[in-house]
Amino acid sequence: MTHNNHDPRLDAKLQASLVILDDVPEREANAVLRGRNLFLGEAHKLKNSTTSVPKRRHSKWMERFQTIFPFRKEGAPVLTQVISALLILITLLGGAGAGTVYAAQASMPDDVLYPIKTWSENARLDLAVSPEKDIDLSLKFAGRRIDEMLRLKEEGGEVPELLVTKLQKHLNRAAQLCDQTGDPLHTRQQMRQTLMNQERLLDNAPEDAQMRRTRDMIRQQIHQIDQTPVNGGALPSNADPSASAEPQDRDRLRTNQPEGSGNPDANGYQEEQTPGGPNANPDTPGQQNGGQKLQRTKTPMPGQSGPQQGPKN
Amino acid sequence: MSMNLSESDFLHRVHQLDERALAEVYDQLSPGIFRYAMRLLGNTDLAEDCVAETFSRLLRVLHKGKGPKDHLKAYLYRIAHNWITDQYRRQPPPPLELDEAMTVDSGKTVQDEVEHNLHQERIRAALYLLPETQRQVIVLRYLEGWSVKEVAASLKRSSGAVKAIQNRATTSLRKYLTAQEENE
Repeated sequence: MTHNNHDPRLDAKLQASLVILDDVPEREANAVLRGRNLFLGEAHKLKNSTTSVPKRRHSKWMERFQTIFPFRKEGAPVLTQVISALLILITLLGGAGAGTVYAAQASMPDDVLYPIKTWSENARLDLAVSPEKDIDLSLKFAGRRIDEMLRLKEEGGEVPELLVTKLQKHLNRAAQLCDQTGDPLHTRQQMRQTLMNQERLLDNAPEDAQMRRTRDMIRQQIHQIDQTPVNGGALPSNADPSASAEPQDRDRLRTNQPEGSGNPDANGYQEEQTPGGPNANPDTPGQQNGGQKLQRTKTPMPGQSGPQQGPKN
Repeated sequence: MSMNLSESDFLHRVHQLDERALAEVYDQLSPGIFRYAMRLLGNTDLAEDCVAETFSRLLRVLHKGKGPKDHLKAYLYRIAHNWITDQYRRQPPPPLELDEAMTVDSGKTVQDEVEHNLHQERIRAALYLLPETQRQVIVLRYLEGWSVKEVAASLKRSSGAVKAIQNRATTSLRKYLTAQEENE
């Protein structure tokens, strides 16, 4: 491949530099054949497990019915959607809900089972036995939302606004509970690392206003963590965030762990992280809900309270 | 890509996981994806991984009844670019082995090959200083030889936006390369 699309604005020097990268070795014939066979083999396997999904227009009565299940698979036949919805109700009411909930965990926002997934997440948050576990779950679910956004974008789909709202709720919830843990500094450090991993993942998404807003949301959270005083110290807003910490704590707060040191999973979240110990420091400034705290004893579900929270699923 | 049927008919067959259509896609587009990955990563194994993962992701998307409605080529390059960016973040590609460099072209001396490879690494390093979209525009426009319209389809931007990104990218790249030279 050569530069067959020269631009007069690309001066000779820059052009000469880029020509260097034109020198690409020939692809090995064996590798081509192996790759081709693998690709076609995988296609064959998938095709045999595929049922075609014809596109159908929704009738008005179906649209009304679908308001019960706000996330639906647009391409699925009407009959399939009705049956799926009824199956959900029957299985939930009939005591076979666990299997359904399990099956829903891999669902995407445009799948019929997605409301079950978010419902089960909310239930798990409600049942969390400690602030640490709650933060753990909130960050995990935030990672899931980002993963879902990236997958939707990769598949050329649109990201529902509700997904961004849910991500914001998860992040707010985790931030609000930070100071209720036994080691707020450690918790913030873990949270910061997780958020940075998530931000890096978002860099891969095609740039649009929604993705930029999501990235800004995460950066804002990182910024808030950096600005939050440690050990309950009252720092001015422009003060060094680690100034009131013990020296070793300052180092911990400032140190960016090298990438991969925490073995983040695909959604940038470390599954095994568990900040520990009892203690509480309920004053975390700069939260977007005006400093309103979540209390473990009466934990509202995301979407049920707070000035920023949107509609529940 | 040249196709006997119209693009939409062909894409329909691809969506149906038609083996012959998929084979045609692989035969026509995998060499370009490989070159693209090689230019950015400089490593044969990683470039092969990129090709395999790009086409595998395409299959998974098609299997779910989704995937590109048009611009299949642009869609595949977007997947490949995302994979490369992700790969580079996780672990920058290792420098070429000397043995590998020596076998590239027997007509050159080892020193020539080493200098050539170093030069390639410098250009890649400068490219990676660019924001992701700018880098993509530079590579697709000037290394892959795509038209502005094709790049716009790949990035899901307007042609005007691509031209603006291209201007910023060339200015930045020129600056980085000049700075590199001054440091040598």
